[in-house]
Amino acid sequence: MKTSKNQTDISRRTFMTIAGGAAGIAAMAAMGLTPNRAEAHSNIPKVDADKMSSVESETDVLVLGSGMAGVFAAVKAHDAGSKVMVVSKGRLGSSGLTPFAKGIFAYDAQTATVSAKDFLDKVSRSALGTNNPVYTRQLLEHSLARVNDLKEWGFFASPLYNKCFSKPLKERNIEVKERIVITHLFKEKGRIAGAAGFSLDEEKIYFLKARSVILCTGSGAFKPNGFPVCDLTHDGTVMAYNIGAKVTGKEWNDGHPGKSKNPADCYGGWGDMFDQKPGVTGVGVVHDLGVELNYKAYVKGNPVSMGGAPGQVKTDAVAGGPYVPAGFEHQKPPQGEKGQGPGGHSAGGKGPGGRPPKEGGAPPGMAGELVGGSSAGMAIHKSEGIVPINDKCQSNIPGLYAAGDALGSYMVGSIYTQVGSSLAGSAVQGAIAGEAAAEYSKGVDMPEISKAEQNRAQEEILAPLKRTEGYSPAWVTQTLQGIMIPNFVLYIKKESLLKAALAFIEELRDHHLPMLRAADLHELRLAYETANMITTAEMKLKASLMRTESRCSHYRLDYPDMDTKNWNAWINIYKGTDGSMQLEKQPFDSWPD
Amino acid sequence: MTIEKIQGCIGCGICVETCPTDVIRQDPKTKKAFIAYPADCQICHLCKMYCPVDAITISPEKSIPVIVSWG
Amino acid sequence: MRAYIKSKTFWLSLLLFTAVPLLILWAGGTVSGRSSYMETLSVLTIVAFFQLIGQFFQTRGNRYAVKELTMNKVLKYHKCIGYIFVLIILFHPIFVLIPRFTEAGISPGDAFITMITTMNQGIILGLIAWCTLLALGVTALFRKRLPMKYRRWRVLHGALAILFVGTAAWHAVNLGRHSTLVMAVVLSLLTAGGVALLLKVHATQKGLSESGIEK
Ligand SMILES: Cc1cc2nc3c(=O)[nH]c(=O)nc-3n(C[C@H](O)[C@H](O)[C@H](O)COP(=O)(O)OP(=O)(O)OC[C@H]3O[C@@H](n4cnc5c(N)ncnc54)[C@H](O)[C@@H]3O)c2cc1C
Ligand code: SF4
Ligand code: SF4
Repeated sequence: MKTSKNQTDISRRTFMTIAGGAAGIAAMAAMGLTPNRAEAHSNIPKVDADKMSSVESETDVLVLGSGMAGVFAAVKAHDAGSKVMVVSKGRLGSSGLTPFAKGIFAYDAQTATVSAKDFLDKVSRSALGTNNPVYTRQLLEHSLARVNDLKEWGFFASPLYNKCFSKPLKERNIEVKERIVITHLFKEKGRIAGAAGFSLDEEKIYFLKARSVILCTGSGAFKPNGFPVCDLTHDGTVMAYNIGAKVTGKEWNDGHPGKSKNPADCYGGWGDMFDQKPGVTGVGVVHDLGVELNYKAYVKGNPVSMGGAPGQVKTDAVAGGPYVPAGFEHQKPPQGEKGQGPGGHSAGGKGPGGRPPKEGGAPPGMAGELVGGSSAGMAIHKSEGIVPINDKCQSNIPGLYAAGDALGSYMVGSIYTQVGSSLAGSAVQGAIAGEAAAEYSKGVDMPEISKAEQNRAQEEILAPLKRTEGYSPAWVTQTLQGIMIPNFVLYIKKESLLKAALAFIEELRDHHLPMLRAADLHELRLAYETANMITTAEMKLKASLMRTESRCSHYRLDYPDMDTKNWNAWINIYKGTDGSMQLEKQPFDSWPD
Repeated sequence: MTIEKIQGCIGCGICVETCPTDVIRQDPKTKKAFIAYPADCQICHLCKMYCPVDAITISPEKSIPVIVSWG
Repeated sequence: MRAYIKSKTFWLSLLLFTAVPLLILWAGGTVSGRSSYMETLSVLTIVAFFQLIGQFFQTRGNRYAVKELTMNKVLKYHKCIGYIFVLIILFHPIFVLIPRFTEAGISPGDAFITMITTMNQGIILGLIAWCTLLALGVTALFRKRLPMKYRRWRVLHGALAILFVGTAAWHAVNLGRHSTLVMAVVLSLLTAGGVALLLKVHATQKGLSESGIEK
């Protein structure tokens, strides 16, 4: 692909002229325009959509995503006898959330001071019943083995994970394709058949046939500021939803705040955490990073800052707000630095890389005034994603598996309950999904992806490049952010505003999504991601409307109490036969029918 | 503004692969990295940490006011 | 030493090979954004390279200098400046790696391997220049042990110097962190001047008396 160098120059120049005054910039932001993409020019594609060639290949197990879950899925599927291919829209160990997580949980039954039973009880109490104990137990039982695998690969030796993730894959000769954006999953004869996507670097569309597919595509958000999740837009979830998979957890929130000074600065906002080598965390059950801070800001207004306790407000806590279960009100001050960031968890263990933990006070970088919504559009890890139908990370579509942040396993419930468990959970589930997918693949023959399906997918992929008129993904994204990110929409919820926001989002869905345009392959990715954010926004608003209670990270002003009579249930979302979004309840402690 | 400049690039291409949000591209002729899509930079510093010659400078500001939940 | 510091030759070379690059750096505004010790090392490297270009002018070809200071002294300073700055330039690839020791990121070893295996024009030129410079240094240091007449050695020294300065200047313009158009032009002019002077000396074969040389 040819990227013209002029583009930067032009955009910088445009920026300079436009940004003559701060007032100008503010006005533009208010209109939802980025200086760089401000001009209303017609679409001049730099990529010739008609010259795109297609590449086909096949494998037994296709792993989508190359974070913690993806690596383990690939390694364990290979070791269980399958031919494996890993495809990611980013780089191995340098995309998704994995590069930024520095504390990994391990439970050693030999040395642990807390028994497995006590741990499971405590998690359930903190999670107010929202966790799936089968997956919580799995975390406990497998985390140590995964941490030991990681040790062997050199994971704990560097703050960067590309090298240690490459090691096991190279040793096994597992093919890794990077910078390929997967956009479609294929279902043929009622089971999974493969995936398709496009390259960011060449004018190529990939059709990947596979006996089974494991979604390790992570979570997603609304490209918010201050949390390094801007490359993820729940792609796996939306792809799977489109072919009939059930999706869960869309009403929950991740309540990470950011710093009010330079809120977009992820690196600075997290103190020196990104620079650190990872370390192991032990048991430390909390009730963290829901929407308490959002509530305080809602009631009091700014400034809000973190007190001495993680995820909570130390001084003059406001009345009302999200219910915190007894025994979890005030955690001990954070002791480590590998919690979950500004306003993050405390870390239970020693500092990463054996460094002595910082003394008391707030977790890295969270001192000072805070703003909300740094992870807007993302829920508590593992609470949103594909619905598992059993303890093998399997979806309701035969041959389709999901692991890590892509799986709605409710491993720790819909609030953060165990520090460092997100990374460990992705590793554990990746391994389990890998083995299960390999096992499944042995029993089925190589599926065919029909020509008709291929053509349809190709048309859909190329459509934004072919449009000569339409909306730029950057503008639609900013408009969506303006609708979804304010505190009173997804964090402190009430029916009238959820409905109002839904009306806006439905407009984007019906009018703007079909008219997204792209000038080059980078923008094609943005167009696709924007479409996924619109679908996600619709899911989040509808699930939030449906859940007429408050619990964990879901808080409704009009239903402030927990309703155990009607709502000891998760919400599943699926595509109805008419293409419309359907929602259903699934009682806690049950599997879907 | 986010990723700010690239100086002394030796053209290894690692930052292009590394950037999660596809901000950096390489000039096909000179092989030098250049900032192609600054608006999409999430200020995560991965490119800088992976660059063998520390060629990348990043600043904490974004060029436009960002949308946050309250302010 | 005193005489040297008082000499016009010294002041002129200071102006040309130290003040001018510093001025260009200052005016270019490229020195910013990194830790001060890294910026200092950058500047030091650039000044060191300019000093090495200046070496072409600390020779017998520079009749003005020889007249003012005597060949003996010129040669002494040529050697002194040479060894110091050759060392700095030989080490500068390591300077580039310092952040990989002091700041979080890939390991210095990995960075070094990536650096020398990136088959880019600027890197290849740099590798050639580095080897040439090493050869220059070693053949100068052990000149007397080489089975070579002084005249032959001088031809070798000159040839290596030309090869070095040519590839190094090109490398610097291509890869330099602070390489701007002005910097490139000045670098090229000074390099060309130096090489021209050397070629002139060899062409005219003047001043080939052995006086003061075999010390
Ligand atoms: C700043 C920060 C700090 C954190 N700290 C901790 C901590 O200390 N401890 C802890 O346990 N957890 C922590 N977490 C959470 C943890 O990082 C994640 O839960 C975990 O890494 C998720 O791993 P994953 O493999 O499931 O997904 P990810 O690592 O998010 O990987 C997703 C992968 O999918 C790929 N992908 C996505 N969409 C597509 C597509 N359409 N086509 C192809 N590929 C695609 C991406 O390129 C990426 O490789 C932190 C997260 C952040 C952001
Ligand atoms: S700071 Fe992060 S997002 Fe920005 S260019 Fe570098 S790698 Fe990309
Ligand atoms: S990683 Fe550094 S040296 Fe390599 S291409 Fe990017 S900026 Fe250039």
